[in-house]
Amino acid sequence: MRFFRVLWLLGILSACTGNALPVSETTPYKLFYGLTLSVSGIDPHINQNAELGIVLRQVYDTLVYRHPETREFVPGLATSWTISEDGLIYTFKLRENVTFHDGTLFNADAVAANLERIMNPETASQRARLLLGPLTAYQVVDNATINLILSEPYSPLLDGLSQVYTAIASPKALKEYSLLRYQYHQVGTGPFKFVEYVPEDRIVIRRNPDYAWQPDFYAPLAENAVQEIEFRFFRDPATRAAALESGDADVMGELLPLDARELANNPEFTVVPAAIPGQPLQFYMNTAQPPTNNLAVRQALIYATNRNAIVDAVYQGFSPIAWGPLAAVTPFYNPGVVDVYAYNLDQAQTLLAGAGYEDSDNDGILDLNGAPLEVTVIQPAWGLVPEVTQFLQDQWRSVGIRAVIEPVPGFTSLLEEVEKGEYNMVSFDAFGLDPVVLNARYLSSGTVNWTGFSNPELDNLLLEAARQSDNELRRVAYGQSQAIIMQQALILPIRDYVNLNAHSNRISDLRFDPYGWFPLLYNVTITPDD
Amino acid sequence: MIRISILILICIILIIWAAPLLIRFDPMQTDASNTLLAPSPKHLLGTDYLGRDVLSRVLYGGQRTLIITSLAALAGLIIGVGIGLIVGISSPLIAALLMGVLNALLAFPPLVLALVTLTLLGQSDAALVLAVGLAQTASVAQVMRAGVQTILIQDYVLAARAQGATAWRIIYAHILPGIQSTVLVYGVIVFGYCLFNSAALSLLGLGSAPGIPDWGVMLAEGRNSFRAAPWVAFAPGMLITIVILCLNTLVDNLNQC
Amino acid sequence: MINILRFAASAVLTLWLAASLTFVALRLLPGDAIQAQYWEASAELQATLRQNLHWDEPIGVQYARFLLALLRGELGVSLYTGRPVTEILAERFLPTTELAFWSLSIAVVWGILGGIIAAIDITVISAIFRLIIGLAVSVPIYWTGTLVIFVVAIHLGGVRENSALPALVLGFHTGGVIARSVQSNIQDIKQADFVRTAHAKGLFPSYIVVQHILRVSLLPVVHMIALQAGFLLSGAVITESLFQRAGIGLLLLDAVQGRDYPVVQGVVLMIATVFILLNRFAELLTHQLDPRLNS
Repeated sequence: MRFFRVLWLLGILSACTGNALPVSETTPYKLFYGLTLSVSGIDPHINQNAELGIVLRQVYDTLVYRHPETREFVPGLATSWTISEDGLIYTFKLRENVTFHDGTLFNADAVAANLERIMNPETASQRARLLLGPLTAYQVVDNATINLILSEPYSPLLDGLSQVYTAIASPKALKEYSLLRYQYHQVGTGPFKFVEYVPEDRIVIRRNPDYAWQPDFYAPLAENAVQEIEFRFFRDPATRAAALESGDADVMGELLPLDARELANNPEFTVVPAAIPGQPLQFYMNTAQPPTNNLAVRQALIYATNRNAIVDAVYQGFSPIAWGPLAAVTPFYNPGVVDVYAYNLDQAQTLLAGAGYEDSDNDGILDLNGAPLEVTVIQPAWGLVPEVTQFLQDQWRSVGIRAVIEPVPGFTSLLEEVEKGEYNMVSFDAFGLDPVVLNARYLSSGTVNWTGFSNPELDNLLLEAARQSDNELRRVAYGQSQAIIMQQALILPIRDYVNLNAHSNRISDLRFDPYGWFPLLYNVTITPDD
Repeated sequence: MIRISILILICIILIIWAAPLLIRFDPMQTDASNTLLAPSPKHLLGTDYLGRDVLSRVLYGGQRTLIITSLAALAGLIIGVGIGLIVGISSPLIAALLMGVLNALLAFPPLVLALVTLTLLGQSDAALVLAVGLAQTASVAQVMRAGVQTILIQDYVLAARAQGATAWRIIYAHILPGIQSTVLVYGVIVFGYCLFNSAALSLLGLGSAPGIPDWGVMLAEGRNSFRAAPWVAFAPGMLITIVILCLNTLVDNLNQC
Repeated sequence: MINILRFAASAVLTLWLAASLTFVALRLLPGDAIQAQYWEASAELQATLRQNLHWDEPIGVQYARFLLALLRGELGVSLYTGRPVTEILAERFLPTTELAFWSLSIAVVWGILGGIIAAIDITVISAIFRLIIGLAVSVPIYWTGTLVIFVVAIHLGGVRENSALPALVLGFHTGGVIARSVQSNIQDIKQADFVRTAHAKGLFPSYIVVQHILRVSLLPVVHMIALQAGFLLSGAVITESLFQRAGIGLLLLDAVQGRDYPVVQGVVLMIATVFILLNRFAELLTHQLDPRLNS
């Protein structure tokens, strides 16, 4: 029986240490917010995941904000800004009497410290540095003025500065903690203070009572505004709705469409779909690998795809159909792409026949010079992409195209498969409000040019659109870029992303910033349980 | 009990292999306008999230599932029993070395081991069999080693050894008959684990490619629509349970004979 | 003394093998953590970061470097969060131990009792127990887990508020495996000569059961339990992911998927240590219960 005694001791031991974790102050105005991925790190300057923004949008302010409805740039920590004639110097007037959660005063030196941290190669920033584009230097003019100096004009800079990844952190805290430790002790100027981060378990933030410099789009605080928020992780998509219903979470994102449909009929919950700007769910077509090196084949693949059926069945009709390389809610979206490749089996067959494909061996699959028409599709396991590819497989078979599906379990494997270059199609996409997300993906020299496409005209347009500060000219350049991408059939767009959020009706006034992923929790109110 | 189990197993196997004669729907054919239909005379077990006929899938999937799982379990058992025997009868040094490797392998949960093997070998059915089977060898070997040791210290074995019986003779005459029931019992458990693990792999996006009918894959896919359409996961879940339950009963009763 | 030395030697051997196997396997796996995090960044930045990690050196040198660090007791830091692996292990081992302890307790109690009841022939009750044991080993755990989450947890205030649920599910299944082993051992030994002799001598049946059958038939079960304990402590991957337990199993799975070399190494070494200790423990216990093994 000694065996059991030792086990028992072990149990006591684990039970004791289990209780040693800090217990948070209890407030009836506490909100439980469900996160869906596990995050690998939540330092806004270092890490790149979207989940960190859901939390940190509440902890930090950025120099500028984008208005949730108009999407215009509005003052944040900077009250005003000017851009020099040549587009190389951005001058920001900073808000005064702003203090960080640790009491440090916010000023131009604080901004400088943050820029320094993001630009420092030691930081090895995954996203923030990219958002700053060709920023090479900064200049503290006085306590409340700072110049940002670029090596070439870059109009997406303001958009970059409005994102949580370029959030302004307390220089004192940045100095106090090492690069890797700071994420557990984050200090911002935002409406909520960072309390604790227990990896894989929870992140807790608490209302900052001193917050008085909120952007204009926030409403005055209600009496029952939320005081404390605990973010929890719910990785298994199948049980997310159950977590919401059972009370494990008050808000949950990335619900399965079927569950969202069901919750929408439940009077105790409200479904809040948030449209996500940027790239839609799409498949890049590899122009360097036969048979997708042939324009006719690429076009036929799009014509042969019945997107309506897919969106209805897989996404329960919650998403708009995508027609081009940008989601319809993205600024500078070109509506001219709509219906260009509407579902048309005859057109697909004509194109393939024109390219010389025929079913010479009568096996139902077209062939050319003895080689069957076969496309290899890299299929990630997330986002219901497997369901989509199975529909694609069936739909394409009806015009004589065979799809070979290569499932990849994780992101690392996906990158590895892409690197091999033996794919015809791969599903991947990036989000963002500025169409500059297109540049790295469609420039000949782009770091993630997975279509292998190279075209001087498209290069010029994309580069010009990033340099140009005039919005109308940008609209034209990006509009033409989108048209070329679709003329060349570089992608198969499927659906615009819609993040399916739902919340219990204990809470109200949940809204999202214009990026779609990040909630604005300042005004959220909560009815305490009896 | 034993008769009923055998009967059920034979029925299942017969129906599964007669599937092409019995069913009216292509198990792979999606149908976007008929998704998640409840069981009806047309679709006896309903349709899944992609509008495929669950009955067709469960029958066709049975062939693949039973073959792959049996091969994987067999691979795991043969290698595991082999190692267990060698560890049991070999010199202390070699035994220690082998035990070291076994313990090292045990430090990977089977699912992770299968994931690593499959990532290394690339996606294929052969790789799946090997990955799922190999993931079980270490624990099989552990159990067998313990069984072998218990037998080796029995008086009659000690006597046989004293009389100069060769290692092969002892294995053949004493150890194998002695561990037979353990192998059978554990074999069924290993079969179950292999079935679970190949399904769990498809939860992770590995294993059988999506679309190919397979009980494990169906179970994994069915979880996503569990609340709205429990029948999708119900059929494969029940079949997995019934098959393993019958096998268990069979093994129990064989033991007692 | 010699015993302890021999144990220590075999333990070191096992750990070295586990570490080396992992080292090789990880480097064979395609992709790496730098690519996964810096895929959008320039090739130069990626190269610099790899250089900082000494990945540009010959593999032999990397291996030597790794072993030397290990000898100094350094497990390194996560390639994703930069946290010391020891710290991560300490944090993630807690939920795993808790879950393992409770589910093993449940499993041992119900497994041994259930196995005994199923083995001795009290017709109806034994049959019922055999069925339950059968279900425990033949229903996939994510099926039970999913049912529990959808049917039970939802009415009890959620998975996080009911930390006993995963232990019950896991304990039920693990106990089934133990029960089957108990049951089959008892049935085997009931046929053995010495039991028949005891019966022939006219000894009281319950005395025979306790003194002869249970003692001998539970011996191999000790090993089985130790093995199950090892599995539980190495992280029940599926249960952890179903019930949102941030334990060792999920950690290992994530680390393998993300190619977080130091974390994988750390977890594997820790689990290997757990297995070594449990095995040793089971061996000692078996020897104590069965004096014959000491000769």
